[in-house]
Amino acid sequence: MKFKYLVILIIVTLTGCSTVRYNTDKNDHFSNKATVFLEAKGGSFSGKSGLKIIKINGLNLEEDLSTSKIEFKPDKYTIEFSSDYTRSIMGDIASMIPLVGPALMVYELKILQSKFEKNIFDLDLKGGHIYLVSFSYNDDDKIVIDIEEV
Amino acid sequence: MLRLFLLSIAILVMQGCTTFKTGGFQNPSFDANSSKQYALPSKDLPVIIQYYTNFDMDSDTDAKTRGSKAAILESISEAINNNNIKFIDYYDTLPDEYIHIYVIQDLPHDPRKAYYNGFRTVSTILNIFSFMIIPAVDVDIENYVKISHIKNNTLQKSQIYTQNNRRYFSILFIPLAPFFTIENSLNESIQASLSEYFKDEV
Repeated sequence: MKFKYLVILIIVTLTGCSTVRYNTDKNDHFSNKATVFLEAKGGSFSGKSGLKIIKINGLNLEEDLSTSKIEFKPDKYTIEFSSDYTRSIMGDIASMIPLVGPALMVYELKILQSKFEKNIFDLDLKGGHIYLVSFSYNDDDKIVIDIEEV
Repeated sequence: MLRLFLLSIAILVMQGCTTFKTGGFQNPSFDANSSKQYALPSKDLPVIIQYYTNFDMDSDTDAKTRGSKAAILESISEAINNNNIKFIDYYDTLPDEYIHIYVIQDLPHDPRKAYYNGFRTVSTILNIFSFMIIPAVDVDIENYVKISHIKNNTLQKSQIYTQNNRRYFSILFIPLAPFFTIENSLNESIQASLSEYFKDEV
């Protein structure tokens, strides 16, 4: 039983570690890092479709940066985006229902296999600046990425 | 079982109580246009607001987003006594001169996985160990407020302010957060930012 208490304590302590940094340090001043927000659409029940970063400067990442905020050191980067989908808890439950599960998978695959009008961008990320990466669909159902510097 | 449950609650409450304080306020100056000769804009100018959050950000009809927008409007109205404060959606064409306030709220209430020790993994484990009684969420809120003075489509001066805020300790308590709500967090950051921006006002 003591072990359980200890595990709970460790987990609670660890729960502050969710910020995502590509090559910055948590102590870096705001003016020494560029902050990139990735848009996700959808609700708590329907799941979220969004964007993730899969390559930086041509290199595959060990793990996709699919979180909603990523911090970079100010520099020039070539960033490659891909589509992302996260099932909601309701979706997880619904996927266990016959017929609904496969239909949900088809829906998710459609989102994940969406084509992009352009998904590789050369960005000059400046310190103290915020970049909002949003997306929409054009008439050909291709994803169009828009990057706004704030 | 009861002792474990009570201990889980005690730890989570303690954590919540120790982290709800307001974090550091930073106002990095990086704008090349800033100069000592710059005259602050009049508070009588139209104020145009933009808002971005990653918390149900595409749900315009959602009560949470509506509440945040109302809080932003109220906070700015308290700091600037001006009848012409509106969100950018209300404008077809922008005025010649205005104050632009861009409020960005990073509230990573997002099930997408993170790079280091993801939020999803941690909260899932925590949920399991608290027997799903406490669906815990533990996030840092970061508010960014960028205030710009625009004249004839040209940026005169801009300043960005950032502030970290408390972490919530349980999803159950978000709507009822007794100490410091999302709206409180926005209100505090906006008030502090505007106060700092206009501190040299004569």
